[in-house]
Amino acid sequence: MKTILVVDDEEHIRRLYEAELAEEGYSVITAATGREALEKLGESLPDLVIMDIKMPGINGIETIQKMLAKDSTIPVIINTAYSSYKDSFLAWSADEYVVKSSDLTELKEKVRKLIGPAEA
Amino acid sequence: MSFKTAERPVEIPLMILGPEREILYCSDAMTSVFAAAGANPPPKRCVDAELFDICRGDCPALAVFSAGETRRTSAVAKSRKEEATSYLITASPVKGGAEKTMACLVALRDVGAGERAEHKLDVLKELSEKSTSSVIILREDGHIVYANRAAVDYTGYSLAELVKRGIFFFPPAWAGRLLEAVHQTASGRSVSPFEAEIVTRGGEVRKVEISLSFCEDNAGSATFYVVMNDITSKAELIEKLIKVKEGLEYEVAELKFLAELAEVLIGTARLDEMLSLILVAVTAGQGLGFNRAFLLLLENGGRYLRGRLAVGPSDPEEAGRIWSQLDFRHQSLRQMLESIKVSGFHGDARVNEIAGLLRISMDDEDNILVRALREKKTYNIDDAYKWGESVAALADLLGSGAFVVIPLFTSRDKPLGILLADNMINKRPITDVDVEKMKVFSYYVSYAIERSMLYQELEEQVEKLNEVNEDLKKNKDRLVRAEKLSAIGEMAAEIAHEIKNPLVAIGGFARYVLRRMSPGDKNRSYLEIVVNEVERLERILKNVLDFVKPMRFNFVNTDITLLIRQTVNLMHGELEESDIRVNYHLDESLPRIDVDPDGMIQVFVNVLRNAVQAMPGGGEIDVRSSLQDGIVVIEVEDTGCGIPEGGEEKIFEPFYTSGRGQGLGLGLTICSQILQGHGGRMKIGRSARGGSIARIELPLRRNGGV
Repeated sequence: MKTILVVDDEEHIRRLYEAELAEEGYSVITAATGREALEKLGESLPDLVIMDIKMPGINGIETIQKMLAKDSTIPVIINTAYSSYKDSFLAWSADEYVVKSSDLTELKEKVRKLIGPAEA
Repeated sequence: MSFKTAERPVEIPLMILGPEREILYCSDAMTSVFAAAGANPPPKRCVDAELFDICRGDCPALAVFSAGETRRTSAVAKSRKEEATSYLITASPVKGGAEKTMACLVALRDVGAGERAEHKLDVLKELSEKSTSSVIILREDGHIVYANRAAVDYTGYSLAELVKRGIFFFPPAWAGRLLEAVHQTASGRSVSPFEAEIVTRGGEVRKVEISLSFCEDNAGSATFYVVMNDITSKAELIEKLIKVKEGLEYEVAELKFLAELAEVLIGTARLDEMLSLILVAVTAGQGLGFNRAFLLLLENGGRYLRGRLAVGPSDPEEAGRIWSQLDFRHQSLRQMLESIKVSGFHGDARVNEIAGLLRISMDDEDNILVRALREKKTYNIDDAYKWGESVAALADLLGSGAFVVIPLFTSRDKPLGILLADNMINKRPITDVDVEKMKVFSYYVSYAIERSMLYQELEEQVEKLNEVNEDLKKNKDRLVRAEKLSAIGEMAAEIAHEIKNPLVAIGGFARYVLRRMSPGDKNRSYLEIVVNEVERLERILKNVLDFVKPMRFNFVNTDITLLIRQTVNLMHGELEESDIRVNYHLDESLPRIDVDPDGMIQVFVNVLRNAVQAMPGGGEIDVRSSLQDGIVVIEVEDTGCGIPEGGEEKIFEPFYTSGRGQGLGLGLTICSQILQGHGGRMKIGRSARGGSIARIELPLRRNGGV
């Protein structure tokens, strides 16, 4: 089963993504901060990371950089309220950039594009 | 007041008294008289010394002040010595303005000796030797039998000469007058002291006051005791006083004139008006009284002297008419100048024609006007035809052979121009006094002109400042707008971010639940409302966040005409749906310009979309492009409903909407920001057809763009 790590400081967003992605058939683990995300990464290696940017403590971009320093093969989707980070070269290290929306269709498409459907 | 101006000490007792009999001047001899009476130094008021027996009674000085006429009286002076001296006192008025007696000149003549001699010749001779007055004793035929030492010293002739030659030292007329007085005395009539002249051995003419009395000699024949007192100094003093008085009167009149002129000119800042006033002052009878006046000013950076204005009649006939009119009006100079100011005086046509012909290069060093200015010298030309060709030519032009040329300078000694005046009509010669008055006046003229020029300069600079100020204000407005936008932006971003996450959660779960609902669930449509409303809110937030996003432009050398066509094509569906036709009026030869194509497309889309929204029932859009003064101008005109009343100013404000479309009201604000980033701008107005017209301006070369 393909595992996705969702990193977001908003609990309700984490629960939404968990529900939606589980419905798609993926296994979902979550982290509320960048630090927690890095700890989870040490325990088990997910197939994909969905990362919020604006978070207290270590922000999403720093977290991605630290994460990729350990293992540069994990695909990352940046998922944020701002479209402006798209232009930031720091965000280039991510594989995809999806602006947060209540309609998760785009996010799910990108996930499928990067790691394929859950059952495959 | 000080009258101690006589170069020689005055040898006769003489003093000048003020109305309170205060001593304004006291000659050395007079001081001695006071000293002899025990008043050393002389008192402040002469009456305080009670020098004479008449001081408390019939004072001649008081009589002079009350009657204004010369008084003579004899009086006995007090003396600490045993002998009292008799004096003949002559008190004469010194008059000031309006014939008012300002002071009294008191001269004393010692007659004591003669009167106490009881007509004894020997005693007289003996006494006379001591007298400081010149004494001669005559026979009726004019032969001198005796002359005292003072007379010998005074005339310069020896006693022998005098005795031999008689009264030859009197010029014939005065000798006759003396003999006449002798005869009169001989016949028993008294003779008042009179003034006469003598010529000394040195050829000097002296004025003397003569008094004579009858006496018998030892042999019993008639002789005449003649006392001569020198009054040359007195006469000179009076003459000087009169000159001082005249000078004072002249200065008072001058000051009054300048004060009047100053008052009028101070109210005048405009140069032309001031020049008129100055020239009228030169020609008015109440002013300097010249017939005509011309003013020339330096122009072209001081390279040319040009006639600027002139005042005066063109011929005697006109002069008579004008002057009689002026006399008739009886205006003061001030009234005249004021009325000229009010009537907007423009000078006299004929003399101004002449003034217009006066244009002299400052390189023409032979020219009298140029010379006056270069040498800083006033020229009073009495006969121009004696001054050489150049001056004669000027005289021909002026129609006057005599004129005065006065150079004008600023307070910092920079040459300003020339004031020229003449008496062409009445041919009155220009006197030194006229020239002096004119010179004094010219200082004032220079000051007034300089002041006016400075004023003009100041006005111009104030105007420039105002322009700069206006620009600053515009820039300030722009800045305020930018600040407002940025403040709104920050706030909006903050709010948007706070709202975004809960909104995603609300909408996301609503969708999640909706998907799992059975198609027949009665709550389904309610949940759909939640989903749609959240979607709408998210759209609004997207707009806000886009607006907040700092703009970065990627400038590409672009064919703007092509870009316009491409944008219109992008909107093809929207336009067709609304039944809108687009008419192109594009300048195909527009040069390529550096723009951010995405930004410009956003601008065009916004403008076109506004047009579409303004024409819900269909219509036409005219798209024009042209190059105007280095600026690419693109206009989009619709046939829609136009901008609502009062909307022109708010149209670029964030979140302003006409209420017609579904927009957030940020479209034009964003467009405006994009264009600013290109160094361009945008205006929206009403078109002639009632719709609106958007005008986009882009510079060919972008400076300061981001």
